[in-house]
Amino acid sequence: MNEADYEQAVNSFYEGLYRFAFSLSGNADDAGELTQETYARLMVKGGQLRDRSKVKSWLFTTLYRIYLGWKRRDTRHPHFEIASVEEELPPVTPEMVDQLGNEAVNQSLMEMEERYRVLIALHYFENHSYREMSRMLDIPVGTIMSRLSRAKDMMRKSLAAKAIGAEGKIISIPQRNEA
Amino acid sequence: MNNQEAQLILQAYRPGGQDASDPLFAEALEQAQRDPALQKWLAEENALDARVREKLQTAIPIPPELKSNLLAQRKIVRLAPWYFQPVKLAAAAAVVLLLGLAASRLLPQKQAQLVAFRSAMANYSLTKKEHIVFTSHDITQVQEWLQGQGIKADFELPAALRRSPTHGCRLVDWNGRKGAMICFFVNGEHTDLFVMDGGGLPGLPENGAPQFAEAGGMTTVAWAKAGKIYLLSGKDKKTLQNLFQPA
Repeated sequence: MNEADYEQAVNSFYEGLYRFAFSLSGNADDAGELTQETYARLMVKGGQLRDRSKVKSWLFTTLYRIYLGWKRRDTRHPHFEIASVEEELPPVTPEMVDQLGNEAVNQSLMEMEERYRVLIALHYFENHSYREMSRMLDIPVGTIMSRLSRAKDMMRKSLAAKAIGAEGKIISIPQRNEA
Repeated sequence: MNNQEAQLILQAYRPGGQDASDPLFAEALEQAQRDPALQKWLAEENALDARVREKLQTAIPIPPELKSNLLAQRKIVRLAPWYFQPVKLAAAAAVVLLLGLAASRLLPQKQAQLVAFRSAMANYSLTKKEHIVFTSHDITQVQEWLQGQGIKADFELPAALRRSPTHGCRLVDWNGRKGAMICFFVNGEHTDLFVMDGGGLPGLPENGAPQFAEAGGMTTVAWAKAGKIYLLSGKDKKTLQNLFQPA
């Protein structure tokens, strides 16, 4: 891979890649290291990538595999339990999300079990398609769809719980109509 | 397809248009066109998704130095193809070992030890597998890790080297003497520093001038100070020479 291609790959994807790394590792140091290691591998092995349109998928897949390798080797990455959320929470709305602080939103993400968190991160940070996620994670398309749906539901319940808990006194909660 | 099935599929739909021609979504989208309730649900879903996406992206700030570090990495990793070519690596390692053996037989004893030391350390530099075992860009963290491994980390380094970021470190062994290898990025060049405790080496006088020599295709520079042997190994001789220039 030449320098221009590498620079373009950095410019285009490093932010999404870092956020994905952060969503996996839960801290800035490891996220930075995962991102750097991924780009280092791109410099070395990127020449094998014949289709330049695959660089994005390659980067995210590689980062995820590096992370899994770390996890196998050590236990420095904390395991987050799913936050218990009330079944009867009102549906979250864009206005409720607006009211939440960044930390609360980040916390909702990090509280999720990893298999759901990975999908949320890939879906929201870089807008990956379900087919791309299927290839990256080596999970069937049907499983991706049902798991993503479940992940979004969990994320929204967690956001709703935080919105009520943090801002319950000032936020009015409009009802969303279910189809 | 009922609305529940359509919702499951449409939850993975990206409203930016990337999935518009995907046959998997076609039937669900057609159903949303026909069913006002499903259409309303989809619009709300997309609005909420956009808001969560925006919020999540601002929730994780990007370190300001990350991009420049990644771009600087180009120069550092340029060394990597060498490391990642097993045949060349094995050949280079063999040459280094042979030179070391030959030197130990042909050179005067005091020179032979220094040549053998250079060769052994250059061999570590050329090693890809577990080139480092502890990763950190902070020399203080590296020193703490080495101390935890029983290595005295009270190094006296050239000022220019001390200001350079590290990549990590590992332990090394030479004839039973334990030491440390620390990887630095010196002006973007990958440079390995080796430090051994336990006194100097014949041919390497205490507080003497740094001695440059080639070993296994690497430039090495060795010196001795305060009972420690230091050796730097890198591809670029000029970079190593600059470290010893007066500020």
